[in-house]
Amino acid sequence: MVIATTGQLPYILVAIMASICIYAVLFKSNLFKKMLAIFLLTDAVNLLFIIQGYRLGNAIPPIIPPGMDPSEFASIAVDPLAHYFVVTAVVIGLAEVATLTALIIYTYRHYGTIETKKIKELRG
Amino acid sequence: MSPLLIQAPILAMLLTLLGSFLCVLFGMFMGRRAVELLSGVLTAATILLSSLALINVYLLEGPYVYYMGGWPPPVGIPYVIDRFSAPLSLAVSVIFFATMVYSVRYLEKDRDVKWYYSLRFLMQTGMYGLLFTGDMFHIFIMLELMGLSAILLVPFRKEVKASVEAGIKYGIYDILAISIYYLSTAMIFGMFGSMTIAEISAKLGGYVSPFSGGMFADPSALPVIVALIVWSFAIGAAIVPQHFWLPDAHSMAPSSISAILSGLLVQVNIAVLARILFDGFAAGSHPGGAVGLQLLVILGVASSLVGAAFMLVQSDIKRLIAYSTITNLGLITIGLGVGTSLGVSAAYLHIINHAFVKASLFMIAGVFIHATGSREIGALRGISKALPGTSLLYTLGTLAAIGFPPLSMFWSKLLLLLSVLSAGGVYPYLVLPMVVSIVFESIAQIRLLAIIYSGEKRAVNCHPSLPVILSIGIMISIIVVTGLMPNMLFEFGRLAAEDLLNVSGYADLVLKSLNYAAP
Amino acid sequence: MNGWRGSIFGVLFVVLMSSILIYAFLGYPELGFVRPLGEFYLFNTYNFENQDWWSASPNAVTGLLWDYRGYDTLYETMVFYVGIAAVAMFFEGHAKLKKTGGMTVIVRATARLVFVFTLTSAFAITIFSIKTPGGGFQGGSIMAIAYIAIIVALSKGFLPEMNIDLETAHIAKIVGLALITGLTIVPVIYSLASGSVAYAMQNQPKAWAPFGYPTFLGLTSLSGGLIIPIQLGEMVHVGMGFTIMFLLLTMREKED
Repeated sequence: MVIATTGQLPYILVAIMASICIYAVLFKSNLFKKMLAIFLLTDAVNLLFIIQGYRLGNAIPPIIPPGMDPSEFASIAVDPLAHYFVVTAVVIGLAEVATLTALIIYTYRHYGTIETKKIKELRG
Repeated sequence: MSPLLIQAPILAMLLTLLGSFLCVLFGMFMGRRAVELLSGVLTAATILLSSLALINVYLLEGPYVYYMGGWPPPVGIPYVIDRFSAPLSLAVSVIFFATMVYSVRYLEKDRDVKWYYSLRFLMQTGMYGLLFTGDMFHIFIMLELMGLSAILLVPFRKEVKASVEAGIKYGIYDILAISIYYLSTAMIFGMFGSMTIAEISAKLGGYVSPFSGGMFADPSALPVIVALIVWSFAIGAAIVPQHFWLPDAHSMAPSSISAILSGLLVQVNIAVLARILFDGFAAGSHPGGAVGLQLLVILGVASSLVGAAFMLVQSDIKRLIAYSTITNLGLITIGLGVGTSLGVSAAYLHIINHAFVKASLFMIAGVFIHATGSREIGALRGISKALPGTSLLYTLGTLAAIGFPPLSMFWSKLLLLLSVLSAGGVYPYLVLPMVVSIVFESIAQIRLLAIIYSGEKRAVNCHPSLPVILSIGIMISIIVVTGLMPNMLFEFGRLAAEDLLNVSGYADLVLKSLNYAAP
Repeated sequence: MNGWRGSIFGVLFVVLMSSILIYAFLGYPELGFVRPLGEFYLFNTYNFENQDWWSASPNAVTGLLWDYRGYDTLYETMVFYVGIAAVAMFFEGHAKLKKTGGMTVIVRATARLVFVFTLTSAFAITIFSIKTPGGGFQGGSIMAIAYIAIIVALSKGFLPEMNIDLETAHIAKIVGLALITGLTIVPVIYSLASGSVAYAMQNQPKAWAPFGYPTFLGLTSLSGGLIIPIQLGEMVHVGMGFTIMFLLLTMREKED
């Protein structure tokens, strides 16, 4: 097993960010905070994808410049697959925002609060 | 191979996709009858196409891989149509058709149904995708599609306070589960450099892919990834420590949706988890994947006991059936966790049988609630004299649920117990909690039956209409008929387990069946 | 749980969870290299030498979005559709758009001008996504801004002036989706009709699956087969979806 080096520090950032978010979703009682924590969790994972697809040195974006040889391009551009995953996840995150926002607004209309401790119609 | 047979499962999926937005268009211009007609026709067509796929896989050509966009696996997304996924997809089609017929009359009093049918279609699409896909990231998208549609359908009657509460509860936890799954896909991408399930198991066995190379990280991290995946699916499938959203969501949703949520959605989650663990992480042979199986057994025991215990104290009919789902999911996860061929086939059969039984129970519960205007079990006293036909159907469904001999769930419960007994190590002791949970469940269900058959004839608000009875009748007759043909059931289970447990066969099918060399 | 007990529990949870994750990450390689599958896409996406594996899009991310992993993106679009459905389901039917008068000619003319400029840039970003960063989603977001800016700056009552209301927005959104889905189904229908091999969402012809959308020969920078029409469909879908969302979320519950 490799001892953590500076090249691995971003992983540690992701790990801490993800754990804080999971804690907040599970144990915070404000619905809006729960929602924000879910999106921060998604962003932590997006960060993980991006750092894993990054190339050190003079990296260029994954768009081939006119006239460049594909093999040269493949050796200097960053990973398009990681970018693809993040682009997709961002759109999906938007759909989540819309769904949860609509639900939270309706919860507020019905109960007058978004604290889970005060919403106790159902027994769970 | 004829193109229709190859394309059938994908065509079914694309038809439901078309249906999802055509429903809205029809609803805006032609009214609800057009929407219902459209969804009826399209869901009937999906039954036809799924049966074609099943016939093709079983009798004609055997399992095959569909390359989305024409790209071979690590480059594109493979859809694996094999003997594990094809029967489940047929079950999905049949239950969606039955609940579609049921909801025409069931939702008559609701104003606007276009979004209801639209989201139902998307849920169906998501289920097909989850069952067939062989790509980790595609599973993430499909979970999201299925999950978000289900989250929105739970509070479909948004004026009801409690249904919105159930919806937000389900929403927060399901999206959390999917986000945790997303974290694990990022870790898999870092470790294996590819998202194809078959490549994961192949690379654990030392395979070097011409497209994506070998492994990039130490496999000692594998147990953490497996635990994250099991955790996320345990939330999605309501395995015990995270089960609390299920009784709320399943009891507050409209009954036609409860039937789908309880009969299919959680089971599809379990099926996908089985696919990932067995075919992806080679749970049978690799120690990293085996962690997942041990977790499943522990969680399964807890789940079956807690679910059965809570069944005894319920006073709401839909909550009782929802807790029964938790119990049965526990039994299914025990079967999967044991990991032998017998255990997996028993779990597989239990998934299919439970889907039909639970869906029909929820549909009948919806009829009872409409008739009595109350969800309390006490209000059902004397209903058998008022609605004798429906009560008879309910009795058959309940007998199947508690595993009464000739009915379908008896065989799968028997197989589950046998599989635990025949496995080595400490597994035979698991019979004890399993029997306890089965007995508790039976007590709760029989108590409900006794209430239905006791008392004087009571007045009812309405009698179920013909389509409702017909849709329930289809489901119950499937339960009875499959129960009478145990040999056929066992054969289905055996072949599904064979396809699921044959890791190298699955990897070869996905990675090598396209005879064209990498560039 | 509140007070100091809650904080201690929170710190313990985070420390435990993050140390488990860090333990997993210890075996991971140092950052700063691209995995072979990523290099495969980079090498093949616009490689004239081996057109069996290309997507004919100089932008590798766009190639991934609508060719290599197009089937993913199709359903990602549908997930976005569910998001719009959430807002539409919960907030539809509260109020109708009313035309408000009272704007001077200068305001109207300026609004139209800004509107046209924004829409043009949305189209440009979508169509040139093959060569430059961007795509249907980004173009759609900008298209939505054209409408949202009007809602914010001039009030919703100005929207009928731009010939858009909820119903047309819904129809336009469905047309966009129908375009995407139609282009996905065409290869399947082709395969059923002709008996040859073709896969859903297939774009370029391959040695093992000969179906292909015609590439615009001679206009290599604008090639990419189905990518551009499908991006346009996504742009309309996303733009209209955002407009519907903002319209509904800014409406009052009751008409005053």
